[in-house]
Amino acid sequence: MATLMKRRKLSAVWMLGAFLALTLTLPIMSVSALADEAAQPATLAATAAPAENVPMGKDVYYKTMGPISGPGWTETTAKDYPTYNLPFPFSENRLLIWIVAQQHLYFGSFVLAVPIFCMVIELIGLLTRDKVAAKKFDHLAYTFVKISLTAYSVTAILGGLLLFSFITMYPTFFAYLAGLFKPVMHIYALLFLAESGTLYIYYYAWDKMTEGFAKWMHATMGVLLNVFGTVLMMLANSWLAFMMSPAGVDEKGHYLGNIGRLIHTALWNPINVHRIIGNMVFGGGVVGAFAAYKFLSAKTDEDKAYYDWMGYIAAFMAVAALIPLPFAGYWLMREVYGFRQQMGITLMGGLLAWLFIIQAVLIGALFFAADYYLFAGMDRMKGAERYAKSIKYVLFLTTAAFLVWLTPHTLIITPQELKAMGGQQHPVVGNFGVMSAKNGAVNTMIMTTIIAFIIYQRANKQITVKWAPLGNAAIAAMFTIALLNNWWVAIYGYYIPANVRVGLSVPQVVGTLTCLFIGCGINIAMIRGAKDMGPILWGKISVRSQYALFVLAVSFTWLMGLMGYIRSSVRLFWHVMEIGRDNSPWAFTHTIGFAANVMTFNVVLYWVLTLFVFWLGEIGAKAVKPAHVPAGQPAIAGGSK
Amino acid sequence: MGKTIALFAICLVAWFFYFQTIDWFLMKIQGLDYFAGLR
Repeated sequence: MATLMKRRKLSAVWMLGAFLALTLTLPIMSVSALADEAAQPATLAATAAPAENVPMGKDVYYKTMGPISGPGWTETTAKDYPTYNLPFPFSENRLLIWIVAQQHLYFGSFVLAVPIFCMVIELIGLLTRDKVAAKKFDHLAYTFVKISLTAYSVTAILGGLLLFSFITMYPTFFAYLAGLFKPVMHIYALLFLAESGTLYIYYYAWDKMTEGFAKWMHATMGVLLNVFGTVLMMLANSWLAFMMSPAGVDEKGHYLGNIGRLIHTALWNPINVHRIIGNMVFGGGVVGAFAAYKFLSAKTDEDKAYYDWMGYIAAFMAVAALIPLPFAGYWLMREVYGFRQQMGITLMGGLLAWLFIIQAVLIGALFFAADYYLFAGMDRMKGAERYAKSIKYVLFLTTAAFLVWLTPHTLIITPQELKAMGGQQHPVVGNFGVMSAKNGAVNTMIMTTIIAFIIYQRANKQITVKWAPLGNAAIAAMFTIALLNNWWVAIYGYYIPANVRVGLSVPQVVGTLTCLFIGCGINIAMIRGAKDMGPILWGKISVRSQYALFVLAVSFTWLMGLMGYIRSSVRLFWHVMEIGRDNSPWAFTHTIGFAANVMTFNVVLYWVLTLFVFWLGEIGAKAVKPAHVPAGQPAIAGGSK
Repeated sequence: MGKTIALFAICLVAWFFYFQTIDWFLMKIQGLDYFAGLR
C-alpha cells in the first residue's frame, strides 16, 4: 500500500513537472516568435537599406508610425471567390462558411465551457469535508468531462473543415489574414495540441489520481486545461476583432511590425470577456439539456435523482453566468460605439435593430424558463408551500419587465395604421422602445430571478438565527428600494442629455449586483444552521420542469447564432473594416427572414449533431451505472442538504 | 408585528440613502452630473 502511494506521488510529481515545462515552453516559444517578428523590419532595414529609406505607415487605430512590414490589402474581384456553382443560396460561399463556422463555434464554445465547470466542481469536491458529498461532486465533474470528450473531436474536425473552406472559397482574403497573423496561427496550433493532450490525460487519469497530492495534481491539470482553452479562444478572437476594428496596419492594410497591436484591437477584450461568459452560459445549457434528456429517459428513481441533481447544478451555473452576460454585452456595445458610432447605429438603431428585438424575446424566454425551473424545483422540498403565494408577484414583475423589454421603438405597420397613430412610433408604448426603458426592464428581470433564487434557497428551511427579523427586513427593503431606484433611474433617463443617460446604466448595474451579492450573502448567512423541514427529494420534480431546461439550452443556441450573425454582419460590405472591401457577388446584407432561417437551420443541425454525441457517449456508458445519490444530495450555493 | 414594521422602515431608509449615494458617486467618477435633470 505504502509502495503504491509512493509510486502515485512520484508519478504526480513527474506529471506536474511535465505540465509546468509544457506551460512554460509555450509562452517562451510565443514570446521569441513574436520578438523575431517584431525585430524583422529593423533587421531588414539595417541590411537592405538605410533606415531613412524604410517606408513608413500610420497605424489606423493607434495613430503611431511604423515600418511597413508586409503586403497590403489587394482589391478583390469576383474571381477571388471561387464557387461550386451550386443553386441559390448555396451559390454564396459565405453561406457555407456561415454554417461551418457556426457549428465550429457551437462545439468550440461547449468544449471550452465544460472544463470550466469540471474545474469548479472538482475543486468543490476537493474542498468539501463530507466524504460522501465530495465523491458525488467528483463523479459529477467526471460525467461532465466525459460528455465533452466526443464533442472535442467534433470541434477539431469542424475547425479543419472551416480552415479548408476558407482556403478554397476565400483564398485571397485568407492569404492576407494568414500573412498578418502567421505567428499567432502557429501558436494557436501548438496550444491546441497542448489542450488536447491535457484534456485526454485529465480524463483518462481521473480514476488513477484520486487521493491526496495526486488528486490536487489532477485538479491543477483542470486549471491548466482552462488556461490553454481560454488563451486559444482569445487568439482566435483576435482575428475576428481585427476584421471589425483593425489596428496595427496602415490604411492600405500594410502590417506595421507590431503584432501586439494587431492582436490588441479596440474590440478584442470586450469580445474576449463576452465570449468567455457566453460560453459558460451555453455550456451549462447543453449539460442541463443532457441531464434533462437522461432524467426523462431514466428507468429508476436512483437515476432520476442523479440526473435531476445534475440538471440543477448545470442550470445553476448557466444562470449564474447569464446574470453578468448583459453587462459584458453593454461593454462590448459601448466599445463598438466608441470605435465607430456608425457601427453602433447600424446595430441597434438601423439595419440590424430588429434582430435585437428577437434577441430581447429570447432573453425574456431565458429568464422565464430559469424562474419557472426554480419554482418547479420547489416541489422537491417540504416547506416550500410557505412561499407559493409570493411566486405570482415575482412572475408579474418579470412579465411586465419582459413586455417593456421586447417593445420595439417603431412598429411595422400598414399605411392606415400609420395614419391613425400619426407616425411610426406609438404614442404610449413607443416610449418603451428606448434604451432607458430597456435598461430598467432587464435589470428588473435579473432582480426577479435573484428573488426567485433566494426563495428557492430557503424553501425547506426553518430559519433559526436570532437576527432573522432584521435579516428578512434588510433583504425585503433592499429589493424594494433597488427596484424603485432602478425604475426611478429609467424614468429619469428620459429627462436628461444622452451622455448622462448612458452613464446612468452603471448605477443600475451596480444596484442589481448589490442585490445579487448582498441579498444572497445575507440569505446564505441566515440559512446557516437553519432547521431542515425535510430533505430535497431529488428526482421528485415535474416532467415539465425538464422541458424548461430544454428551453434554456435551445434559447442559448439560438441567441448565440443570432448575436454572432449581428456582430459579423455589422461589417456590411467589408472583410476588414474600412481596409479590405468585400467585392464578392454576394456582398450585400441578407433580409432578416433569410438570416433567421439560416440561424434556425444551424440550431437544428447543432442539436442533431449533439444528440449524436450524447448517443455515442451512451454506447460506452450503458454498462456503467451512475453513482447512487441519496435523497440528502449536496447542492451548490447554499442549497439545502 | 410592530417591531417587524419598524425594522423594515429603518432598512428602507438606510437602503434608500445607500442607493442614492451609490448613484451619485458612480456618476461623479464618470465625470457626469447626477442632478443634471433636476436643475
